Amino acid sequence: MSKTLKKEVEYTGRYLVLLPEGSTTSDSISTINSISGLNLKSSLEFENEFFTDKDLAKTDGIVLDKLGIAIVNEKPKIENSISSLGDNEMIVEKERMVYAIGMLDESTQNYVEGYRDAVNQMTNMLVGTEVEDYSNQEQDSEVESVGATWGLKATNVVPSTFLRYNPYNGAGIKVAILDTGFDFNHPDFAGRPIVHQSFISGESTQDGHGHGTHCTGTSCGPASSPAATERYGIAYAASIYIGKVLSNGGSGGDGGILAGINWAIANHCDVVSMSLRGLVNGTGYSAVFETAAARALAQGTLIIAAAGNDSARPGVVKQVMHPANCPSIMAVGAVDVNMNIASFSNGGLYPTYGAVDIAAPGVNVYSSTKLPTKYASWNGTSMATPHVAGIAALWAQATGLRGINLWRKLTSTAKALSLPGRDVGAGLVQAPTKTRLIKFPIDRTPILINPKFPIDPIGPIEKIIR
Amino acid sequence: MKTKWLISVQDGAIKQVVNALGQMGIKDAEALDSIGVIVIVPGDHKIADIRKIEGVLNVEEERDISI
Repeated sequence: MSKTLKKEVEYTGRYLVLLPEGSTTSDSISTINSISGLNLKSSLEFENEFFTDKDLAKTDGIVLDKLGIAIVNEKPKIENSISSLGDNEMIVEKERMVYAIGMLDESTQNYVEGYRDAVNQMTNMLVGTEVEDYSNQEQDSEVESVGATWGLKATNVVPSTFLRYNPYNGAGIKVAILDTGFDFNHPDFAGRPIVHQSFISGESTQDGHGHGTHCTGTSCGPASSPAATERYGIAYAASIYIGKVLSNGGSGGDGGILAGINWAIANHCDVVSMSLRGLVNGTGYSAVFETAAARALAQGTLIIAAAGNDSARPGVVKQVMHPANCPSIMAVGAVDVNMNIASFSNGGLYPTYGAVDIAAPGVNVYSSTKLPTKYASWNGTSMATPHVAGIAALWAQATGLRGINLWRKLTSTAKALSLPGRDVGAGLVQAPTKTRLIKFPIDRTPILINPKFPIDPIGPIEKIIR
Repeated sequence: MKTKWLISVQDGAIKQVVNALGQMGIKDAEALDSIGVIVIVPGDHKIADIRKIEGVLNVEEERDISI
């Protein structure tokens, strides 16, 4: 299932005006009136603050009291008025036409999947089955992955029960890892096509640090490896896009990160994994990154970022750092094998933004790293983030969902943990799985036998052909 | 090295803003079309000057990022 996005943005002819932070609706209405001569109404003037297009058309515009946003009609006199608003700490945008994305919504998808599974099961019971769609290749990969990291087991990438299996591998999904690059000499990725681009001047995408190779290993590493002690890769058939936005020393500027995000979207990446952070003191988040991330989501690209490792629990809990604190970026916290919050994992300290959205394994995470070390077990929300990215790729493959719908799928299927939502958001990320259909060993089922009319011991009467 | 500035712009306004920056003497603007962001090395300009350009949504200084 693929998504069709309209390339050209269409506008309604109205404007959206973001009013200055902290201003009241009545103050804003009088300010706008004095600046521009426009007579706006407040949404409070309508019953339950509900108004229609017709109501709106009768006014110059309406201020949405709860949002601090005005919807302003396009009229001849507005030309100069709009620019005057922009000069007075108000952000003005044209109102966009919005369409339902051309794919199934979540509830419809669940219904259709349930219907399909029921029909398949009934068909198999009545006429037998060719062992459904559980191929030899899948069985092989499962056998090889008997030894898997605790993180892959906890997130159901490798289910712990025989009754469930995971047929998804990220095939057809593009995952971008924006980090310190990648060690292209790592034997576990030999022959794997990797698209790459460096945004660090003077440094190639070759990973001189190891961090990027570790994150890539978790999100997109192989299903099996002769040298690794256990399976560590999640979306092993996904297409890998490496954007080097951090130097070999592990640092960079966020201009390079924006360039990396832009590159990933231009390459139609479905998922972007960013195990990085910039320090934030006090409140607020980057309006520029939020705009960029919202535009990415609208184009079907989900950005996932580390919440940060600045806490020292239980005493000190630091806030989610930049850019994971942007509302349109999925922030990932870290848990350990016992489902305790990692001592270093940052928390969502502010109710309206900067929340932790989901949690993933981030303590003692085994994965690939640069040669000659080759493999290492590391800690960090940096390690939790690629778990979510890899599993996002599996869900994208399994459901066809993208952007905000993929976000919702990840959070709605997360496993609830007995930890505060402040620390783990929706809970522990979970991979999609299927229920294994057990074929009963019955070759012939006697049906419609009436005991009053036993089967003729002589056998069937042969048809006489004359 | 001078701190870069990150400029988010309204939909469809990226060329117009790049042109306006050029007229202010900022020639090496990096336009990120897919996300509607421009990255510049500001020279002697003030953030308030950039904000005044029509089509500009926000201007921020680049931050340091690390693993």
